[in-house]
Amino acid sequence: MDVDILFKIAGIGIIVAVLNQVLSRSGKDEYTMVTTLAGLIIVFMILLPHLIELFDYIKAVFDL
Amino acid sequence: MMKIIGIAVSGTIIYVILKKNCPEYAVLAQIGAVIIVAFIAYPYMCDMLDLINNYTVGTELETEYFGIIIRSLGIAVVAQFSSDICRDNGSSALASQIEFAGKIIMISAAIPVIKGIVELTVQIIDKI
Repeated sequence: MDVDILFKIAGIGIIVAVLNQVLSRSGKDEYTMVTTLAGLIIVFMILLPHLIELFDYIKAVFDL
Repeated sequence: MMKIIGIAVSGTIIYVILKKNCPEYAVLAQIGAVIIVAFIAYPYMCDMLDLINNYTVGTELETEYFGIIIRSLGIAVVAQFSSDICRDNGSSALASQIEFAGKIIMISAAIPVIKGIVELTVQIIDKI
């Protein structure tokens, strides 16, 4: 199992946090929401296939 | 085992870091850590279940009841970790809902067992 999903999510989270700081400092507060949502979408794109894979695996193991 | 501990600890640290700066990603980091640990730990369960399956084939026990046990175990596992994730991030109402739904599904999966028990007791009472 690749451990780098965890570090990818952490990286994206920190980048978005920094971006929000930069945006709020430079006065463009309305863009912080947009960058947060964009980051969330990217993280979901990374995470969802693994979640689907996990649930299929659980279904296979416990024949649910 | 060490791998699981390492991933869990680093996941917790990342969760705390993200919790302070941008809380939305903390939840996702936690889910990611759960997925990784699950993928490392669950294959051991697979071998155990196959072993138990091989043993029950020999005896005259109905394997149908054993299937129900495994299914309810799976439901319990999934309900447990999803309700804990919800409770960690503040929505305990949702967590209790997930647990309640897990219990209902488990009982509905165990209906054949209850039916078997009732029939058995009826037969015993008839014989007395």
